Amino acid sequence: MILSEPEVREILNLIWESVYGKLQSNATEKDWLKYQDTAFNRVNMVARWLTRSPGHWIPKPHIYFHPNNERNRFKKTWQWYVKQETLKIEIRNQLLLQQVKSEWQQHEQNKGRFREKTRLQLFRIQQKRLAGYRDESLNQAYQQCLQRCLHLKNLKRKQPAYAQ
Amino acid sequence: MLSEKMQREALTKCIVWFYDGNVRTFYSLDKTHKRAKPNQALGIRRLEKMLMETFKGQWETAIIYENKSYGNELARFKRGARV
Repeated sequence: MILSEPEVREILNLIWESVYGKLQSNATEKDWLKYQDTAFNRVNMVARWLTRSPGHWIPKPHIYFHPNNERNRFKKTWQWYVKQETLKIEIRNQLLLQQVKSEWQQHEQNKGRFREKTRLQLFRIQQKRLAGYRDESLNQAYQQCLQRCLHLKNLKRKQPAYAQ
Repeated sequence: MLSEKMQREALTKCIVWFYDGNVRTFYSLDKTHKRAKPNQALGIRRLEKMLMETFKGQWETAIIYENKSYGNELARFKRGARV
């Protein structure tokens, strides 16, 4: 698409208004840089979507970035972006839990990288690794995984019988 | 045909060479309503729409200039496509 200078100026003004909110919020420079990154990611996401299937269509730039366009404006990609990012995190968590699970299974059979370690040491190693991601849902899933892998439920059931 | 005043106040003009030998000059309408602030980009878009839809297939070359003496060239169209 070829645009002349006045058209480019108009579109940039619309982007300044609709995407950056006229730069009026009191965010720090770091926040703005972060927002800029997400904005670039959103643009790339739309570009990839367009190249994937040529049947897709987005409106012309002066409509796409217009602040009053409720129907198919650029702001709507935010929801889309959030969905994509949460999906990425979920998949990452699934892979991490799979790894943890296989490590416990191998440890039970005296195989693998951590066969020399005790159960407590292996637990500490995994805990340290997963704490690096700072994700509460990952932590909870890890607890459940531990219950399953280490048969902690069976232990609990045995305890009352032992006490009698 | 636009009035003299509107021709003078237009921000852009478009010169069109038709296939039948005619050469015509069109002036842009840059306002969304009578007292609006003129928007040059809107005028260019409207001229482009005129070329692509009203006079579709009738012109060979069209050039959009700023509406001044020695105004810059803003856009150029050739056989139905922007170049």
